[in-house]
Amino acid sequence: MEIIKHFIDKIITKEDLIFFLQEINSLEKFVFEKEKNFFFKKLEEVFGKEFKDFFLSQPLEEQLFLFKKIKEEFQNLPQLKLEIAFQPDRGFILRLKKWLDEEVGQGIILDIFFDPDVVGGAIVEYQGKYFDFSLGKEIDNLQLEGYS
Amino acid sequence: MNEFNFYLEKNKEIGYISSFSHAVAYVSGLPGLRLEEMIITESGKLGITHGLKKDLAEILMIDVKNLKIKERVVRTEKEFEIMVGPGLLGRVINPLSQPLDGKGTIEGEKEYQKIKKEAPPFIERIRVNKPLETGIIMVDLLIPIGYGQRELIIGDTKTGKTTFLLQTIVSQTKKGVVCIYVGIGKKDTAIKWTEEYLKKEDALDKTIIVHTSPDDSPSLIYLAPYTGMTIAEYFRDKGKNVLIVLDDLSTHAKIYREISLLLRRTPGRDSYPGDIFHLHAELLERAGNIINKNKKEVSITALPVAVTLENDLSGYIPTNLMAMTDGHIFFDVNEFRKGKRPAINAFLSVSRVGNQTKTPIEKDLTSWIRKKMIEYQKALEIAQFGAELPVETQKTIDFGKRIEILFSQESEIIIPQELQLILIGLLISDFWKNKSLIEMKTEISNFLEKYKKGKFPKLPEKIEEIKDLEHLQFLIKEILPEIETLG
Repeated sequence: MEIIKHFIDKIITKEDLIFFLQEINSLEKFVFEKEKNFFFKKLEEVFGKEFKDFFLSQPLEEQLFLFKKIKEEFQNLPQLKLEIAFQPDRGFILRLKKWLDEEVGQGIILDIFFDPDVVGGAIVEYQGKYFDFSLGKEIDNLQLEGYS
Repeated sequence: MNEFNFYLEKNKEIGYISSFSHAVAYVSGLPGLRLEEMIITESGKLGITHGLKKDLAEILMIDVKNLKIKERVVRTEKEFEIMVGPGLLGRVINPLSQPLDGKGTIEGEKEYQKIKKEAPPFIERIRVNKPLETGIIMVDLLIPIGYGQRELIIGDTKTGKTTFLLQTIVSQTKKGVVCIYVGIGKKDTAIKWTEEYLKKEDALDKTIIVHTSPDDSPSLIYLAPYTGMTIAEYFRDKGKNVLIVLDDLSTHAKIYREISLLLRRTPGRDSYPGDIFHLHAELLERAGNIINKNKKEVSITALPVAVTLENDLSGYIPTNLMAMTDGHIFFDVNEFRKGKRPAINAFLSVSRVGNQTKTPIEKDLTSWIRKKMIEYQKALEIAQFGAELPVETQKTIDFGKRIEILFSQESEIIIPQELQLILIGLLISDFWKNKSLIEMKTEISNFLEKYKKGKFPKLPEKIEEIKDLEHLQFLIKEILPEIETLG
């Protein structure tokens, strides 16, 4: 859906995605409400004025279908799982997102885990592929070689 | 966990369990996964890839206990394999080649083989040409089986099918044939009885029992006949003749139906999946008589079992199995209720390739006995009316009853083929003509016992020299004084 492509920039991490989907779930409940002021306000807050106008121009049944389609689109976005040995700040996450957008393409959701056993480097999982670039693994291998 | 980490490191692919239901798990990820490939979960549980959808793989899990959603899964890049080796002889194992009999690990030379293999090509196959002795006189005479044949054993439950199969196994182990009994969803007590019977008859050390009980996971039960057939192929490739009993394929079909319905495959006739015929045909085609790489004739003889309900031979699975086998032996529940043992209906049984294995004398005897049996059946129909019967009809009925006595065999009695010829020869020579049926039965038992104790050491040699019916009758006259003294 073209109209929601610019929302993809706002959704960077999995937590952002979960929060966004929760917002849509709460909005869905108001579609058939008689009193709609709160709904319009929330809609504009989450999606912006342009989307709100587009949304309101659709018939009621289409509005519900639209929310469902948006949820499906976002749930199907590819996720990159990253295990690192520190808690990243927002700046780090934004830089990482920018690099991914340039190298891989838009629309990748970051799923970042903090695991001290990684020690350094990272363990990366993306679309079923698994790459262990962690320092923890190297240390384990060295220890095993030492025992043998 | 070690195996999991090893494969994760090796293949660099990971998947997650999205959902699971009974024996089936749906896994996301693992982009390079292939059909029939084995997977391992983080907790060490094994599964086999049964289907590949757009985003998910359908995995048949061997063990589903304590499986978790989002549990990590890795590929092994191998198809499902089991361990085979001579150490399996005399053991009771499950379809994963793990021992169940409490006798410790499997010792000796081992190798790993895939359970799903292609059947031997037609160019390696040769005609069934050697008789397989079951030790049951009725079968060996009227419905003969040959090495490499696939003969279906069909009948209602509790009609003596398993007893017949075990008698055949005992008879064949004495000839050095490796026997495999695959119990598909059989109760533990039933398998224990089987093990005890084979032990008592000194046949257990040449037999392998592959056991699955009804409370095992459907995946494990589904694998059982494949495990049995893989073990059979291992011994065949080592130059041995093998006999495999699949008891029973009706249960196997039901389990496959359960799995297919869980996988949401479109149900066909009787809710069985559309590929049920292919499943069993693919398995049974692996049996047969072939020339191996060393130019030696070796065989796998398959005796699959099918269960009917009240003698209904027109069921879906029984008719499927009849179409893909070289004949069937029908255990008639009406005969069983009349007290006949074994309860085989020779008129409704057939062996399509068994006649190729018979000697001319055996063919003569068979056609003669069949003729007498048909005359007996017709005479019985006339006798039903209660009218006074002519002398010839009475003689026919009397002779028919004597044939029935000859064919009746309890579970402990196994009659070697050479002895079968002698007994038939005695019947034809009217040896029991003026004796009662009970006397006849007692004399047959005595004769068998004496033969087992070695009272007729030269008999097997003399029997090999018999060429026709006349020759047989001549031999009977020769040994008659010896038999009469045994009384």
